[in-house]
Amino acid sequence: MMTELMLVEGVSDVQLISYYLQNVYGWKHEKSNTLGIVQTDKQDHIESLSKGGNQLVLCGVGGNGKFAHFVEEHRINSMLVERDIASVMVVTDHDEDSVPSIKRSINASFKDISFDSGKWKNNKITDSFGSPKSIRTYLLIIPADKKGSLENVIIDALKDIQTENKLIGEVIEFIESLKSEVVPDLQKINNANKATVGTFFSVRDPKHALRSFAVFVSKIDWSQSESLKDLFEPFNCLGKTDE
Amino acid sequence: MSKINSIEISQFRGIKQLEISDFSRINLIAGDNNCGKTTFLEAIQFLFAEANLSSVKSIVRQRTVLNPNDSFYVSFINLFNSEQKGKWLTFEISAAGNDGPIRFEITGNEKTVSGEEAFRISSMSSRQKNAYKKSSPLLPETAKIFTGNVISQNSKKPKDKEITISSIDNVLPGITIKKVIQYAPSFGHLRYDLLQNIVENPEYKKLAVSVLQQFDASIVDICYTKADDGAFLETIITVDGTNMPFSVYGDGIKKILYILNKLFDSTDSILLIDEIETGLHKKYFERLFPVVFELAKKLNVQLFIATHSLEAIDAILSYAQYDNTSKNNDPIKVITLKRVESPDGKGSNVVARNVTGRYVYENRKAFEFEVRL
Repeated sequence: MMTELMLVEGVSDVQLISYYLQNVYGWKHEKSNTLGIVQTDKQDHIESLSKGGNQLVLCGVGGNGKFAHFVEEHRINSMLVERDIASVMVVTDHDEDSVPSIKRSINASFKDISFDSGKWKNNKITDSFGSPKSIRTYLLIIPADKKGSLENVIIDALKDIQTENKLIGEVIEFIESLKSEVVPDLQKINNANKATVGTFFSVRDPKHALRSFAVFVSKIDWSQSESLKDLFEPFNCLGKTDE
Repeated sequence: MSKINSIEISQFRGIKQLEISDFSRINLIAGDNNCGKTTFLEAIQFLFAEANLSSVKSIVRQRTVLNPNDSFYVSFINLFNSEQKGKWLTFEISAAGNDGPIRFEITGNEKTVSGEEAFRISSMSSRQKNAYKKSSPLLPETAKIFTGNVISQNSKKPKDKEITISSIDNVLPGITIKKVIQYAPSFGHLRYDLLQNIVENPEYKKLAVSVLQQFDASIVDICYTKADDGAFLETIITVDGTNMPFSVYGDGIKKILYILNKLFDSTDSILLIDEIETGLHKKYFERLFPVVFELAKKLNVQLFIATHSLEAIDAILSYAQYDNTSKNNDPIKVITLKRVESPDGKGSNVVARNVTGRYVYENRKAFEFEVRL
C-alpha cells in the first residue's frame, strides 16, 4: 500500500480537489488517515481518500503563506523520514508572485525534499535507519499559465462547461458593472474573482446560498471542464507506482 | 564507574555489524519481535565479562534458564553470527566507556573430532568425567570442539585466555562471578531473590516500601520471615500485622521489587532491563517509572530498557516532561532496532535508529509516530 500526501492552501482547495479526485479519478473518501495527521488548528482541514489500497492524505494548510507553519506544526519533515510516503504534492495559488519565488518559498519549508514547478521530481532521501528511499514531489501552481488564484481556475472551468457558460458570463458582467461606483473594492482582481464565484454559486443554487463551498462544488459537473482537466492532469499519477 | 557512550557489535548472533553512539542516562531499546533487543542487552553484558568460559556461561544461560538441560555448546556456538563462512568463528563487541575503551572478543575454530578425542580434551573434571561415563557408557562417534581465545579489555590491559569446549561438555567448571553490571530479564521477577539488596539498607527499604504503598496502601513492611520448616520466606507485612509471603502477591509487586533490587545492586554502573512492561499493568507505568529513573539518577545508574510496549514508551517519555522543559539535556535516547534483509536477499543484519526522547515525543504527538518499527 502506498501513501501520498497533498498540501493545498485552504478548505476550498481541499473541497474542489477532493471532489475532482473522487468524481474524475475514482478516489473514495476515507474516514481516517494512515499518517495520523490530525487537525491542530481551526484552519487546518484534513481529508483522506483511498483508491486500490493506496491512500492520499489531503491537507488544507489554512491559507496562502501557511505552508511553512503547517509543515512545522505537523512535523512533516520528520514524517517524511519516518513514514513510508511515496509522494508529496503541493498545490498553491499563483497570485501575484513569480514561479521562482513561489518555488523558493515552498522549498524553504522542507528539509530533505524539494519541488519543481509543473513536473514530478524524484528525491532520494535516507531514513533514520540509514536506508535510502525515494519520495516524488510535484509543485502545482494554479492557475498554471497566468497570475491568479483558485477562483480564476473555477471561473475558467465554468466557462468551459456548456451548461454553466451563460450564467458565469452574466455574473462576470454584473461584477464588472459594480466596480466603478458601487463597490470600488472589486477593482482588485482577487476580490472581483471571489465575488464572481460567490455570486455565481448563490444564483446558480439559491437554496444553498448560505451553505458551504463544498455544497456548491458538488452541484457542478467539473469533469466537463477541459481547462480543469489540463490543470489537474498531474493527479493522474497519484496512486500509481510508476512515475 | 561503568558507563558506556557508544558500542560496536560485530558478527554477534543475528547482528553482522552495528554501531550505535551517543548513549544517554536512560536508553530505551524498542523494536519488533526478533529484531535483536535481547541480543543487544546481551552484548553490553559481554563487554563487562571476564575472559573465561564461566563468565560466558553465566550470560548465555540467561536465555536457556527455563530449559536448563539445553546444550551449552550449542548455545555457545550460537553466539557467533551464523552467516560466517568456514570453520573460523569470531565475534567482537567494543565500546567507548567512561573509563576508556572496553572490548570483548571470542575467536576460534570449530572442528569435528572423534567422541574419544572430545572426551579426552573436555574441560570436565575427573569426577565429572566419571559421572559422564556412568550416565553415558557409549561415547558419541563424533563430536564438535571449539578451540580459540577469549579476549577481554575493560579499562585495563587486555586479558587473553585460550579456551576449549566440546559438544559433550554438559557441565562447565567455574565459580559464579559477581557481575559488574546487572541484567533484569523479563521473567526474572518470578524467581525469589527480590529483597537481598533492599532489606539490608534501611534507606533502600524505606524507599521500596513507599513505592509499594503506591500500589497497595496496606503494605507497611518487607522482610525475611522464618517458616515452620526453617526456610526463610520473603514476606510482606500489612497494616493489620498480617505476614504475607510474596507467593500470594501478583506479578506486579514482585516486578517492582525485582527492579528496585537490581537498581540498588547497580550503583555507579549499568542496569539492563528486558521487557520492562512484563508483569505490570500499564496504569502503574507512570507511577513506577519516575521512581526508577530518579533512583537511577541518585545511584548513578545508566539504564538500558528494552520494551515492546507503546504504553511503556509513552510513560517513559512522559518522565522527561518535554512540554515544560528546554531542548537541552534530554535524559532519554530511543534506539529502535530493525532486522533488514541483505540487498542480495541472502542473510540479514540489524540496523538502528538512534533519536532523542524529545524527537519521539514530539513526533508521536504530531503524527502518531510508530517508534517501534
